[in-house]
Amino acid sequence: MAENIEKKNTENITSEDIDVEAIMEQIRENIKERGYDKIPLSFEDIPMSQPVVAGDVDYDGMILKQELQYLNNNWNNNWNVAISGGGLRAKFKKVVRKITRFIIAPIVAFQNEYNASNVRAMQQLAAYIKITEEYRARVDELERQIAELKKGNHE
Amino acid sequence: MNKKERKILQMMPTITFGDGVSNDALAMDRILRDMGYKTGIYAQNIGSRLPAGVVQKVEKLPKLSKDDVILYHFSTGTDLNKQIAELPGRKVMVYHNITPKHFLLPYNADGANLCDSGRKDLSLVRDAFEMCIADSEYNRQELVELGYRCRAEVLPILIPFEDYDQEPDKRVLEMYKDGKTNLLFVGRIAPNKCQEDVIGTFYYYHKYINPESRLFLVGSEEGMERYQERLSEYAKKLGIEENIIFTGKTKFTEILAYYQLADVFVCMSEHEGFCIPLLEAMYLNVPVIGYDATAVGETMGGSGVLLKGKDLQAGAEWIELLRTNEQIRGKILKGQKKRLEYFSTKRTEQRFREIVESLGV
Repeated sequence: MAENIEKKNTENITSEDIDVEAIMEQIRENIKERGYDKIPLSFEDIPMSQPVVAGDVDYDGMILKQELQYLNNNWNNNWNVAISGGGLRAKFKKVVRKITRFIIAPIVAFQNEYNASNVRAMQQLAAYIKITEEYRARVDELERQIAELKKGNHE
Repeated sequence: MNKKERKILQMMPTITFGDGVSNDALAMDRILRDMGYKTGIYAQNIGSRLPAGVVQKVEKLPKLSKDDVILYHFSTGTDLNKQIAELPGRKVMVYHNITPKHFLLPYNADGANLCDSGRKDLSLVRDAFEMCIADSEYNRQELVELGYRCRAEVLPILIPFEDYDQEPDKRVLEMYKDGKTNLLFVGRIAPNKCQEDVIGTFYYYHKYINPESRLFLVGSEEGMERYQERLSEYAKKLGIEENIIFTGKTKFTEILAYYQLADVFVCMSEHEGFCIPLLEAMYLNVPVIGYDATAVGETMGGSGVLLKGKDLQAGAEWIELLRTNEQIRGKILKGQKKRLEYFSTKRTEQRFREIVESLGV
């Protein structure tokens, strides 16, 4: 790695009274002496967690089906969360739940409506994909028949 | 019509307490009021920590005449970018640059799309402005390349340096007062800022030169949690995670404490329209090592140490040199102080006044 350090790839200091060349010479010497290894892994080696919103993905009907199932099961949130345990702590939590109801309940209701709308839209898209898949199968079949007919004519 | 009746209003998508662009707008507002204009700042999103009444919602924008001026701070994608073109009055853009989409896309699709639409809007509205004010020559050149033909001036961001003379946070100072060497980078956790290369430089420094060292990465990870996770994992795999402190969002006095603790400031960012932390470090007597990309070299202006390539080993050696060689460190700090003169509040204010006067409002 030390050999890679060339002047073009180093520093630019314009403070008149600093001898950059001498410093760079010293730095090159130090790098040799310390025997730096290559960094054991690059940042690119660290895998990314699966993005929630992916860029380029291939269509996978099974994933769509699973995600739709999940959305169907989980679109409706309950603001009135269960409070476990007992004693003073649980009582306190219940009081907090009660006095914040007027803020939380409408927000959750709005979010649930929004979620429901999203699920319906997704189901419509899934239905549309199903239709296009049927068309695709028909087109494939027609293309196959055309190819056979062409082949018969040539013979 | 005298100045008292003329309005010079500022508009922006978001204004928050302590942010560089927001401070710039607040300083401009103060100067414009001193100059005798009717002023106001109007934003779509207003941070809760700003004093009440300083900024109004965009919906409250008063009726404008054709001679009134709007200074529009352009920094992201928003519907305001297009609405601004439809408003009456004279328009001046203050351009702060926009992070290119490709940096953000792997981590935050919404943020990436916002930036992308901002860049598209920038091209679409180029004829709406009679003048542009760019934070740096780098930003000005971007506008020229996008086909802006109007007058474009360079005006550095107005930085209230007197704020940096406050007492740093004592708790932070106490916590890290252990004689270790402290490296510092300040800036949002964001992929364009390449914190992974600061970590890589620190890896070499810590392993081969000075194991009694740590790295502070000061900045909020909001919206970039997945990038932060990856950085943490990288530090862990390199075996240096215990010596890297991600501070998250911090108070201003805490940031001052990190600067006070720092031996060297290391910036490996690949996209900056200006980079205020470089100047903060210079003001607070921390020697700066910066990678020469976008506006970084211009802001450093020959001061500090400017790395022309991403040679992390050479970066590590420079850190040690700046820490141990008093003579070199002194000369670098002297050069940085000299560079700061260009960005002095007085000088930048004067330049802003000249630009406003030249509008003939």
